[in-house]
Amino acid sequence: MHLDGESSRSLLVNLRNKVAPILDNNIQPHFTDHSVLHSDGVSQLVDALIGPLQKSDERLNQTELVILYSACYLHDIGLQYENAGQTKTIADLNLGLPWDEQPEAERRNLLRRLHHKISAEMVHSSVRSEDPIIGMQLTQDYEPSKIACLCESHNLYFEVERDMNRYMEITTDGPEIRMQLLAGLLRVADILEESRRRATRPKANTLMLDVTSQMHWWRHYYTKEVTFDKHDKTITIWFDFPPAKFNSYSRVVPELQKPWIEAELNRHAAVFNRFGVTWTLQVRLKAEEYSDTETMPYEVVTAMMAELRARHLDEDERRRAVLLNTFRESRPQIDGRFDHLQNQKEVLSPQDYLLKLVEVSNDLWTIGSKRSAIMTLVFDFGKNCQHLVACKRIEVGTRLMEMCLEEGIPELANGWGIVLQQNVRTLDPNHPAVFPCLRTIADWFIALCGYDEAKAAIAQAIASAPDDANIALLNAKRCEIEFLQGELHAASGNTEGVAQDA
Amino acid sequence: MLKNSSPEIRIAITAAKGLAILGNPSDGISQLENLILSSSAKLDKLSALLVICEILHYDYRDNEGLEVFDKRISPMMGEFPEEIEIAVEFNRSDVMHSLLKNDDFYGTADRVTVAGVELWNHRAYYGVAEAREQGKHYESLPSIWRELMRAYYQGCWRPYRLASKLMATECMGLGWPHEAIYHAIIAGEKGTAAKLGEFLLLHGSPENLSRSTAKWLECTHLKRLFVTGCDILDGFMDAIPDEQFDEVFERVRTMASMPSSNWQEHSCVSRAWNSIAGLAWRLSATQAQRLADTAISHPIWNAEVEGGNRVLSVRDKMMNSLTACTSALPQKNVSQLVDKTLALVLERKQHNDYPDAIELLCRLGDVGGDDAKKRIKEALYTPGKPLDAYLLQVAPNFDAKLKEPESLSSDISNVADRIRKQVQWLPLSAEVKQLGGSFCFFTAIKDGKKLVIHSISTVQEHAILRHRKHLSLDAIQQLIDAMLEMITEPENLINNKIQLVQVLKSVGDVCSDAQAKQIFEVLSPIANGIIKEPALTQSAADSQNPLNPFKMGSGKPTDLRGVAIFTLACIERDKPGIFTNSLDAIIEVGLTEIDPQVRALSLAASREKPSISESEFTAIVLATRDSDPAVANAAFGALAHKKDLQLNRPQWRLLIHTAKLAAQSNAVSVRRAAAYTCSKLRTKIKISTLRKEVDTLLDSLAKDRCASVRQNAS
Repeated sequence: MHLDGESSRSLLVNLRNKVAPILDNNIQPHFTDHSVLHSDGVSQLVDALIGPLQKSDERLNQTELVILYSACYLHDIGLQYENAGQTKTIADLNLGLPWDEQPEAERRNLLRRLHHKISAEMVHSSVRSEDPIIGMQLTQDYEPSKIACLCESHNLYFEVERDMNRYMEITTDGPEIRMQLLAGLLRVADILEESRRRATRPKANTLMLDVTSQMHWWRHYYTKEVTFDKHDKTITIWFDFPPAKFNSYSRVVPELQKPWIEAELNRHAAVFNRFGVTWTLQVRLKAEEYSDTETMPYEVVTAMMAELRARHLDEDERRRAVLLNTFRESRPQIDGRFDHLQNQKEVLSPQDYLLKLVEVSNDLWTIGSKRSAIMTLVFDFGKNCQHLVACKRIEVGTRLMEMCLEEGIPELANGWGIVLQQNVRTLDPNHPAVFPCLRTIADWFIALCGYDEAKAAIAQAIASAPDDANIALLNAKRCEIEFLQGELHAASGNTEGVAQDA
Repeated sequence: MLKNSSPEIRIAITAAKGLAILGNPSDGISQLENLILSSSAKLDKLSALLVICEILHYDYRDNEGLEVFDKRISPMMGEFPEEIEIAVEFNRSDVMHSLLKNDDFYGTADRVTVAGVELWNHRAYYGVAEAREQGKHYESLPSIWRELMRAYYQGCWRPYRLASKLMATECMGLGWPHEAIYHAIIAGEKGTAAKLGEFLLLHGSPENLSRSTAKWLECTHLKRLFVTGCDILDGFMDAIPDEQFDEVFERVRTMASMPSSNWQEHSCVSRAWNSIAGLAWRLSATQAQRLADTAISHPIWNAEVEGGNRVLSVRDKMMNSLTACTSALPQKNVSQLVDKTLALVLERKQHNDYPDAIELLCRLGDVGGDDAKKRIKEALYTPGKPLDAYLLQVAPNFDAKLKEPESLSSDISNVADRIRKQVQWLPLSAEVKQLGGSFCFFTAIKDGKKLVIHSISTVQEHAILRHRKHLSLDAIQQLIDAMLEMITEPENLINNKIQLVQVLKSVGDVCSDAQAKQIFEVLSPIANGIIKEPALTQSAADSQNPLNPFKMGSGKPTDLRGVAIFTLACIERDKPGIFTNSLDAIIEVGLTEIDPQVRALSLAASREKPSISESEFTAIVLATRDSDPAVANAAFGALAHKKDLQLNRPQWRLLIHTAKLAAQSNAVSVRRAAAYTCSKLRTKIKISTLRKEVDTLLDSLAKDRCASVRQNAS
């Protein structure tokens, strides 16, 4: 522990001794271990997390340390409070049945869901209490109100707006006390501790766990250790899988575990960065020789995969939303340019207008607005392409034709495709624009089902092809259209009939 | 997949596939194998191996294809993009399903969804359908062509087949059947193939027919492609140009002659014999001889029938084919064929093809003359051996005399009893016993009893009535009573009633006037359309309801009505004047009925009458213009079969005019009927100018694109 003073240390030792019997109640047997060992683990991880911080100017002061370490021992105390019916948190729920008459499963469920608030209430009620429910009276030395705030904040959900607002409210920094930093450290340490504790199989075997709880168990079972490297500023989670299942489990378990912790780190990135608490998370896999690590039941593996699938679908959805947002944001800018161009149409020469239109079209294409890119340009190009110099006309026409082909609307080039073909013949066959244009025209005829024209265009393209590879590709296309339209003799390369197999 | 393969392999693939489809799969495969050896690119190897599998699949060599998949392709998996690997999986599924083996098809289908792979371009299909609906072929053709190319490059056989199917339909819509043939064969879909065959028959120009037949010959070397080819061929075989007929026949005969080592090859052989049965009437003597040799030397013809459960399913088709070409067979083959067919009846008898064998023997007896008949009679009608219904029925064909014909009368009570058992009301606990000559039975519970209705065959009744001259009046009465009872039975199936009414059509020359009137009493309401369908089985309307997924057709009331009209006309024919004018009134109404089957059978009834009135003539001529080809066909038939047809000049002109119109019809049966009627009646035309008109018409029909029309016109 980074506590300097003996008095601070004794405060913590005293606290640990008093709360240990309560935490050992273990009234949540289906949950992972939440005895005082968990609290010890959390405070060890806090030590590791703040190690580099304590060597800096931003180090935690003694008061902050007392609050933080005390919260390490008190944040889960509400989980073990079987008489929670007396708390305001439960009373406010206005349950139909009195607390004692609630089914045991329901009581456990409520404790699990609301344990952070109950812990906070327990801490708060212990201030100056003659019969404190946490086993000791908390004096102001402990800053009990701040501890209560940390207890409550450790299980608030950032994704839920009400929880988020509450979190912000109770973690407002006080004089000399950086509550947001403390709350972040407690939450990260808690989640790391939960993930590193090796769940014991014998205990799991004695319980009838539902599949969700089993997934939880197995994920922890395979988490061998969490280590810190102060130099690289890395937190490493070590996994250990049964050798026979190493490959398949490696693809599932870490992928479930890592984002869970990573997300928590990211939630506090701003405050951590501000004070230099910068850790990077990484995963390491181990396959130990003669390992006795057990394999998961099939239904647990399946459930894990289902959860992964659900996560990936969420990610896809988010990615799509991001793409769509980018698209929505970029469209008005390009539309604005287009409107501006329209206004200048009378002023600009037809050639300049068309070239600027090409730029707008290209930009639309780049942001994925492909149809708009084509429609922006195609009719003006058809009408005014004669104003462009020949090689530019061919270059733009080729690109536009390629766009039409890619979008499956080759018929949009019907008005100017043939003209393009005639124009390209006027250029020197070695001009760099010629071959791409002839090749695209061949593809255009193929797409329009003009077999004879396509074959002629292929022959023309071959004549100006820059290398053998392109010639071979064009020949392949010719053979393919012959085969696809049933010209079997031509496709088979045998024009004199084919001998039948005996 | 193919787009990312090297140009060399892409060219080799088209060449190999082309060679294979043109009938040289070994060369195609070995060219690809050579490239696989020399190529280092994995995708090139995979593309080539898949094409080898495709060629093997086209040739019903799926076992070999599966081996390529499992030994050579599967080890390469895991190294290609998901779309390619999924295409491979689907192709393997095709092979597995062809071998009637299970695989993880739905797993692959789910993988497609999860991977977001688009094997089928549904947007393109929708665009094609919409453009086609609006008649915009200039849009639909390029769209489907692009989809065909996309599917080809993708390398997955299923989408490629679907695109080929759409392309075939598109080419048909554009009037390019010769192009549609190739795509339809690659598509391998029966419905499209059958439509194309029908399209060719109805709309094929001589040039189109010639090009289409040539394309058909090009593309049907491989067994799977041949089977689809047969689905097309069945539709247009009448229109195969004479100069290409022998080549087509030889292709089908060669496939039919193949010994089949597995069920796929067996289905190919079976399909070939099916098509031959349709082609056989066009065979020349040499072709008929080749066919007979093929049949009788085929392992299936000569296979021993082992045990009661083995059925040699192709034999019936072989015999049907031979039956259709017996008139073209040279005498020496007839004699040989009689022996070979007798062996099927006596030594290797099978119930499923026994009637076909008897039918073939009858035809051989007809064309083989007295010698053939004598040999058949001696073999089949041995003294002391009881005759089954089939042999009893055809005994006169071979001049076989019944030893004790009067014993038939004493057996009538059993026959009548069996007829009455068509519909039985049994206690709920009673076991249903199979009725002789019954195909199946239906049961229903009503009023605490079990109703059993047998679906019957009337072979026995027809057989006995073939010898009706030997039946006593009393025996005939028993038979009539039983049949009329079942015809009026409310719960009896319409199909049963139709068969019984058909049996009654032959009693006119042996029944008494009172018996004829008794029949009239029962059949005339039916002939007038007063028919109540059974309540406990599915109605005809329900059985035709497109929304009914479980169609159980048990006969249409309109068919029963038509058959009743026809039967009454047959009795009137054999007992002229027995029904006075009552039948004429029924026929007159029937001729103008909405239902085409009633109209057609009323016309058939008119045909049976010895003479027709002027008003009947007008109705019949009008009917030759009926929109339903079967009705028009029956109308021509009614005129052609009138021995004493006496028409005045305007009537002849009307008849010639309607025949000329019929000659322009798309329906082959109508053109054929017109040709038949003109050639039958031309000698009755005394006015030379009119006869010349008929001769000119017959000349033009003799050049019809369909062989059956040409045959009837000459």
